[in-house]
Amino acid sequence: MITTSHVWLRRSATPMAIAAIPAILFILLFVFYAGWTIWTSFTDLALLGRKSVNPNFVWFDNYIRLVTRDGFLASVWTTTVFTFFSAIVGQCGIGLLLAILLKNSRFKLKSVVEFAILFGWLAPDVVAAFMWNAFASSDGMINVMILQPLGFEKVNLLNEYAIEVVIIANIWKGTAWSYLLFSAALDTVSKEVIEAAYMDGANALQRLRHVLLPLLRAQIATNLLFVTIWTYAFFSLIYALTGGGPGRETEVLSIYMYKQAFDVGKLGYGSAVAIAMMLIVGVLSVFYVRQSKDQTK
Amino acid sequence: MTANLKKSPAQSVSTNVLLAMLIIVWLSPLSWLMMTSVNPNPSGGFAVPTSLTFDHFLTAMSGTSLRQFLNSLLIAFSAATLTTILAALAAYPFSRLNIPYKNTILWSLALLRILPSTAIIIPVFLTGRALGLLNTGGVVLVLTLMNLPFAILLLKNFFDTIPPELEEAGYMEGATLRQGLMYIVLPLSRAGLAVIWFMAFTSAWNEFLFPFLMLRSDQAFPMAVGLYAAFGQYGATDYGFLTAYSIIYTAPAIAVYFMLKRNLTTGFAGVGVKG
Amino acid sequence: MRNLLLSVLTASVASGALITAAAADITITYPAGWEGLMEPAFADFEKKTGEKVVSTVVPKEIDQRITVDFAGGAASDVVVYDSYRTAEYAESGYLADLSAYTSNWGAWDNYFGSLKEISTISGSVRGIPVYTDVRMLWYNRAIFEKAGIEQPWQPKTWTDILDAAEKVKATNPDVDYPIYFPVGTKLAEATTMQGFYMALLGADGSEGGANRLRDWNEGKWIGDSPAIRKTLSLYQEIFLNKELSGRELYYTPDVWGDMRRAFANGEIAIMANGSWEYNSIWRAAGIEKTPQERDEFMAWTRFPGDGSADAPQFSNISGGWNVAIAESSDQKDLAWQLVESIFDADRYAEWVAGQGRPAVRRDALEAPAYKADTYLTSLSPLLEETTGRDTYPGYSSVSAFVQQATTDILDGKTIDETVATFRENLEDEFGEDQVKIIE
Repeated sequence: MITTSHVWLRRSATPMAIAAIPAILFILLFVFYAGWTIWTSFTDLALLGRKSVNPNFVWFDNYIRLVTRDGFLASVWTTTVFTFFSAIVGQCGIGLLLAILLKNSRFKLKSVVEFAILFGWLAPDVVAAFMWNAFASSDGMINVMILQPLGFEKVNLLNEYAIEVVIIANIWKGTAWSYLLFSAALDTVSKEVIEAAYMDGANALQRLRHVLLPLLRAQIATNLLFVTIWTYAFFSLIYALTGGGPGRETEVLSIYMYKQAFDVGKLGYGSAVAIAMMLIVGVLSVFYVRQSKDQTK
Repeated sequence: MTANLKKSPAQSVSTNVLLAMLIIVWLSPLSWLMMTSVNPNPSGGFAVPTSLTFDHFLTAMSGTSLRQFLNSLLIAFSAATLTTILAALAAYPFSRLNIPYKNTILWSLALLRILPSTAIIIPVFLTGRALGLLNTGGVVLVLTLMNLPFAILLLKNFFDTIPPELEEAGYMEGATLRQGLMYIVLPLSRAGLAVIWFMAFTSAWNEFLFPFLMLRSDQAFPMAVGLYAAFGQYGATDYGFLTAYSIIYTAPAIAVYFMLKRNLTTGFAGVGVKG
Repeated sequence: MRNLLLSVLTASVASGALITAAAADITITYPAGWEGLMEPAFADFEKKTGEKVVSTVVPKEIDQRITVDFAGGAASDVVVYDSYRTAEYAESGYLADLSAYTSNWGAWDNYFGSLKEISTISGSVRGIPVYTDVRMLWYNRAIFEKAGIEQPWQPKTWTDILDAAEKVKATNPDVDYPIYFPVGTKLAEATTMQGFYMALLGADGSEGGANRLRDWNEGKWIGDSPAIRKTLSLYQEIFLNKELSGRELYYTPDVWGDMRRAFANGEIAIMANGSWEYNSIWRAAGIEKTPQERDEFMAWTRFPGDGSADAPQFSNISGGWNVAIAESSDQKDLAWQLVESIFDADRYAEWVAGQGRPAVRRDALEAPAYKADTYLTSLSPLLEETTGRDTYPGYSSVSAFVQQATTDILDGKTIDETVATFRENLEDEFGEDQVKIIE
């Protein structure tokens, strides 16, 4: 099954496989947990009471309820909007833009920019939630320092624009990763290529589209996959900042799942939500991989 | 950067203005944190302090808080180190051997990361209890488990960028597999390993749920749980303590980043190359 | 490399083991803020028995923590929990039967009958009540003064409440919350208790469970009733039609602290909340106020019914916390000794009065610290006629559905849609034959 063209590798295959065993055991345990979740999603296992001891096998009931009952589909939409704007447009887009700007600029404050976006990335989620609450609430900095001095009425941003605030908070939090990845990738692009574009007199946008983007296609595709996977399951910052509210405005799938499993106590239904999340992202991933392959041909 | 790279002054000025604005936008949410942490009369709203105090930092760096800080360090350091070692040992064969469908396998594993920790906490808890691991050791192991799939995937990408010809040449000259790894692969992988270690460190440092539910004594709680002691559900929210504690809580990750900075920058290039 | 791996593993496991309780120690899990009651009791217990107490003080979400501990078979010997879980924990076999201990315990006779009942499931005592509470409408006197509302304020119907809030809105444009009425899932049980259930109880007569979530005679949950619809329409009036409340306070990272500070800062005029707030507000705001100063600042009035013919004039509902022993504990006798230490008569009476919480036993009511507290004694009439939650297995799910229903209203769903979802949720969870519809 395991083949290789190199003689030395063939000889070393066994010790290498043995060294991988601990990791494989961990992964198998993880797969077992995932299997438990899949099994549970076909039962009415509850956190408490009779059904916690004697759950029934309910076939596809939980999955049918995903689409026939209120809540799940709305949450898929919220999560998709959140992921598209905060991860794909925001983190990936701004990260790429920043990487390009800082690469070619003699900007003195480059390390300050890096520190600023890194702080967001490295600040623990709960700390970030407090900062954004203090920043956007009615006696927060936006109101006290910007809106009120300009004579505007004070706006409760978390009240009126919750999903927008949460999206911006996640851009603030996650852009560093994309920036670092693209910045490192740009190091591999030769200066001549970029210069050639300048000499052609192409303007910035065209240069970006026709020269840089094709060169970075692989990295962009990989990064899109990363950030999509992370953002689709994003939980703690939103949970601490808004708890999914006001109403259900920011109730992304991970929060919806948590509420169903731990507040209501329906572990079976919650597991079905988790599995559905995996399937959705799985489909998205295949789509990304296809896209990046088709276009490199 | 190079002399013949020509830019019109206007373009460069507008770029600089844009970047300056970006700094302001990015740092402004921080302002409340910084100002409240040194304010003798801290509050939840935004206020510029009239005098300075460092008492909040002293409280946040002593007693229970200090112990939580050390607990966090222990958990994050152990989980990151264990993750990196295990992931490296598994990613190397994945990179070098022709395992059928290896990319599909790796990406499917990465999808496991989508499972919210809340979805698997119950079986994790049950296995933890059965193995007597409802303690710091168990938390380290489960955080390693959560980080492994992605770590293996990223490290495999990184190892792919190191040409196997180097190891082959070493082999021809009589180096064993172990020597080849120690003297050829390891030095070249420092950057990739640094990235993995760093990511595992920050994610373990951040983790609330597993330590909160698994640890059997509040003496073992890390900062992620301890932070909530500053909340107001049962008493006054101590904003000075909360903000000072938050800053101390954020500092190690940033310190570690700048310590590893040189390695990390090249490391990022390696992990993100392939799809 | 392998050596390093091994040493890391052993180091982390060993250090973990160091801070894990030895088997013989007695373990207890309790919420942060109770140290004043617990720590002296531990010292006493340790002196008396020579055993060590290992405690886990939980800073938040103690409900989740304790439930997972129970479900995973890893509960502490002694557990402090919110009493609405009693029926569910008992049904799952998590709580030890304390009847043998309480029958030999002199202090048990001092507990009020109604509270003993809540903690007794099918004849077995499952928990010892610590304190209880009552619910009411708090109001800010200065804001009412400015709005020209007569004090003491004595609303007779829901309309009176809405009128007062509208007057506040018209005269105090800076007050973002003319009325604070718990809503949504983040406040969890508080939404059900302080908001929804208080209204529900006053929306209809008690015949056939018409003003409850469960009909105890028929043994069914109630999926739709005029009272449920009226209650939801009260939410609609407050949040949508008349816009008498902002929304942020129900969803901030620190929902409790922020609500209290908002009240202390005069951003809330009327607040549907509990008896503990007389103390908690000031503690959370970090302000020292004498009882006299507090009485000048705020006052409470009873929560009126909606004014319809059968409905009770006022409504009230109580909760509380219990101390219990886990069924999984293998040293129950020792655990009971710890429970007795916790309820040491003098210390308990003083602590409960200091917390501003209504005590649950007669001897504590007689304690000097309690008697001297005019606020606590003023609650006595409410305590006599209060009611409890529907603590039947499944209640916590029903309560979560209630919170989701209030969320639906906030999201702009109609009453029909909201009730339909609520009913569907109940039928999914319990089966159609367990759900009753009141036309």
